[in-house]
Amino acid sequence: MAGLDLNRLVLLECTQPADPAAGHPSPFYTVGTGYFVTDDLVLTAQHVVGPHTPQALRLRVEAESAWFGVDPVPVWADATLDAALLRVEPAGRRKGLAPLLWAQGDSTDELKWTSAGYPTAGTAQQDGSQLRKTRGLGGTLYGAGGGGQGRKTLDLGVAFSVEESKLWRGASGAPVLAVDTGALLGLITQVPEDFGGDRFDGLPVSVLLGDPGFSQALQPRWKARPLLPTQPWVLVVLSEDGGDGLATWVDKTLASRREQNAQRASVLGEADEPLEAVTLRITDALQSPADWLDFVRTLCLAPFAVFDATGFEPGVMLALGVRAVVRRGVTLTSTAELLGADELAQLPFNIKESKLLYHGDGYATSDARHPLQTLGAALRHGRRELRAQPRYLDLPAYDGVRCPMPERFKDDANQDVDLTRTMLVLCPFNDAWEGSNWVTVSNAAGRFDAARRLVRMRDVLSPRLVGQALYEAIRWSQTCIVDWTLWRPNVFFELGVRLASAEVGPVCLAEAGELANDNHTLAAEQRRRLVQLLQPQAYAAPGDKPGKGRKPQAKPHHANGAALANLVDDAFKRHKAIAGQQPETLVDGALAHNATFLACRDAFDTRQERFTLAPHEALRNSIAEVVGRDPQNRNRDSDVLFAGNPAFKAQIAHNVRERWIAAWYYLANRQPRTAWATDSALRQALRALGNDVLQNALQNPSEPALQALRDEIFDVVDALDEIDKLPTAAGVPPP
Amino acid sequence: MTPLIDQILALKTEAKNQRDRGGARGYSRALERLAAALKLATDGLAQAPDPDLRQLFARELADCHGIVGGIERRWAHADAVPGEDGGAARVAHLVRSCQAYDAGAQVEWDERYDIRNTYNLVNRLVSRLLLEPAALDSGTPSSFGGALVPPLNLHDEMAGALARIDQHLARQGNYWAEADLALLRVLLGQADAATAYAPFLALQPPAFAFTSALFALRPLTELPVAAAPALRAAVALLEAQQP
Repeated sequence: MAGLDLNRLVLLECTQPADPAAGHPSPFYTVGTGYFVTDDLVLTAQHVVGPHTPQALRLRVEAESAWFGVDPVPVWADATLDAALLRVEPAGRRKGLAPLLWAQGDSTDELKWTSAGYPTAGTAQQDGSQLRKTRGLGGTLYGAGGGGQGRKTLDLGVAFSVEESKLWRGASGAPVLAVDTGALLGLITQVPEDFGGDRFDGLPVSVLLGDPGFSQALQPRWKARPLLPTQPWVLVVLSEDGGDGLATWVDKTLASRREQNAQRASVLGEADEPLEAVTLRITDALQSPADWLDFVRTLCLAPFAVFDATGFEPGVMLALGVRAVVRRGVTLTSTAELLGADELAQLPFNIKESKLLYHGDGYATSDARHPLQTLGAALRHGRRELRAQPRYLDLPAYDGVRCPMPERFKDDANQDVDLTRTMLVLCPFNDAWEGSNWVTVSNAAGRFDAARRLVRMRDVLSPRLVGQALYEAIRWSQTCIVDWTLWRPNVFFELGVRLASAEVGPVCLAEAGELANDNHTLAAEQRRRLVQLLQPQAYAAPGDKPGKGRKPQAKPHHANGAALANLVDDAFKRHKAIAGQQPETLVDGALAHNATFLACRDAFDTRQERFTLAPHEALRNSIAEVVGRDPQNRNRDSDVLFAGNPAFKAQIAHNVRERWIAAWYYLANRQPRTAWATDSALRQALRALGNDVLQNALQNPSEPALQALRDEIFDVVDALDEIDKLPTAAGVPPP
Repeated sequence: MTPLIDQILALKTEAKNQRDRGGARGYSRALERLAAALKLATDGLAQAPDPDLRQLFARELADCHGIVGGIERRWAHADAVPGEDGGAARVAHLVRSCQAYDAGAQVEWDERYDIRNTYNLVNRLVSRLLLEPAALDSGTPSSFGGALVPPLNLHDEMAGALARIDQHLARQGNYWAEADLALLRVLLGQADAATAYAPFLALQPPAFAFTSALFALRPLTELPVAAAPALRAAVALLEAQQP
């Protein structure tokens, strides 16, 4: 039986920043208790480290005598729950700890609990110093207490009271363990004022484990990340049934150009083509929530990716959907099957728009259509076009999911129309499904909330291009229902888009027979793993019991009333709890509804968003989009369509000049001039921008104000040159 | 690390600004920047592993040579250096201008790089004309400023350049090529200013293209050559049309 483990118990000491408003004119210390819940994560109360990030944080493991530093930024924290997880470096610092026993569910019985912490009441004086001593804690957990309004808490009676409740300070964050089972019941968060110091409030683990962010933070650290190459690389995602052909051709392609690309990188200062490949099979990515989240982060980071879309397997399509949200490019899709015109016409519509490559053995290696030729060229062109074209896309969805939230409007009947309140259904477009499943799903949705409109893509009112409206709706609809029945590639692509782009996960449904493992010979393992991860709610087909397999049907059967309704209703109930931020505890092996979204949010390469550019860089880029980076070295004028229109051309020329000037005014005045002497990066940016403005906006200006600006910029550039020549005490120019 | 090509572009821009600022100080600073840019471009060209990159660096190398040639030509202009020994210094600058343009033309018409530009090709002849105005109308091989600049038949070279441009670069929307073609036509007496510059003007080039064309034309209007009146007409035309 596990119990209080002194190898896990830690004393936390935080150096908090000065907070004069709260009576702390200078930095001050706070102390609390923590408990290792994994080999590198310490659970404590959030208020021990908050409300602001501490200047420094260190901890002392009770079983050791040494202090060591901790990243003061929690890996997860929730001020409302008053709990935080702190990561201790290096990983595995407490290697060898037995797995922690987490209490399951909430009990209304009275239990004996035990703990230890570092309350003020337990301090001792030694050689003039105040020492924090562990004090054993314990008492009775009143199972019937802690309920009532608001979130569930642990109502902890304390066997030994203190004179003043403030003397318990330092015990916050201490673990609460069941005496009989040794399971972790929760942690101590506060001392209620009116009990005279013999009562604690605690946070139950049931609440913690129901928090997706907490569950995600507990997952093992991302194993793949340290292995990712530092030079540009390509992620190769293999299908389950497609063999290794794609990986082989990508490897051969890279090998044939590796030396040349490395040389290009050394000449250009950066590699413009992938030098290495990281290969992964989709079934491995779907093995567990941790593996999936590792994979999602890899999708976010990979500068290049190639997907084996052979057979359009659901897991691969799901991953493509995620990738479409997190990277503008470069992403290639390839198939081992040589597709004819008819087959190309039948492609999933999300794929139809993209350039589908071929990596089979149908051509001689010297043939221009052989993957050895096409893969390298596609990677090369993709990278070049991605850099040259700000709106480059090789998959749909990236721009669609970035549309702002649709505004409410009044319809013809003066009724409010709020597109975000519609319930979007992602489903197969199939007569049989339409005739039966749709009726069932729509009835269940109506029982869930009859006031909200239920729409499939064909029901969306917007006259916009279907793709744009679809991806915007996938992100912004509060409720997104995904019916897996028939395992349509389009539906899984859209599911990936939803998982990556929406804070509230989808309501996944499927006819029970579709989820039975023995019904599928193709991509069978990934289907099983997808079901485990995403837990679609099975609903019954006529004559079947829910969740039991049935042999494949040519068409989905007509839905069966009550049993089906109840099951689908259960899925909506769970969705309602999630939307109300009260998600249920996860089934083992399942992914939290928003875990994919959170992983994308945290790993997204923000450099892709132009809004992250500094204002002067954003202005510079907007000019380059119109006239190029070196306009005088071009043989042609602006590439803007209709720039031959003289009035338009004059507007372009005028605005190009004004943007250059605006960029200069921003950068030259944003920092005080004293910063120029101390900041070499600022000097470099100013010099480069000043020269660009002079050359591209202020050649022979006739306006006196612009002539003065021209002289001013020259003066600044001269001043910067002088600063760089200035000797310092060390005999080198300033930094 | 700033990519090599960005370093070259930044140095070129800085050089052009110092050039436009003018004066011996501006020209000296500009040439310093260009010396650095030329070194980077030469290194880049030597290390470039494929035709794509070789073309990129060769283009920059030729451009840098051309800017050097232009600065030396400006410096040669007596007004730019008051107090300097106009005669000898002028010749020295024009000689260096010819040498720089020659080096640039060699790169930009090297088949290995597939660039085909008119910048250095035409200006190497214009700088020679400034050195020896009589060479154009003589129709015979002439020497220019001593042994440092190879002798050539200026009229024939201009006719050859015109043919090259006409064959490879004209009528493609390239306003630099059209300006150079027009200049050669006027110098060779093949067309009046309005006719020669019509294709250039039809492209509605940006202001800097007019500035560059006028920079080439203006010093030539003072030369004792048969085309001087047409050159003056060309200057008037471009000044009137300049945005």
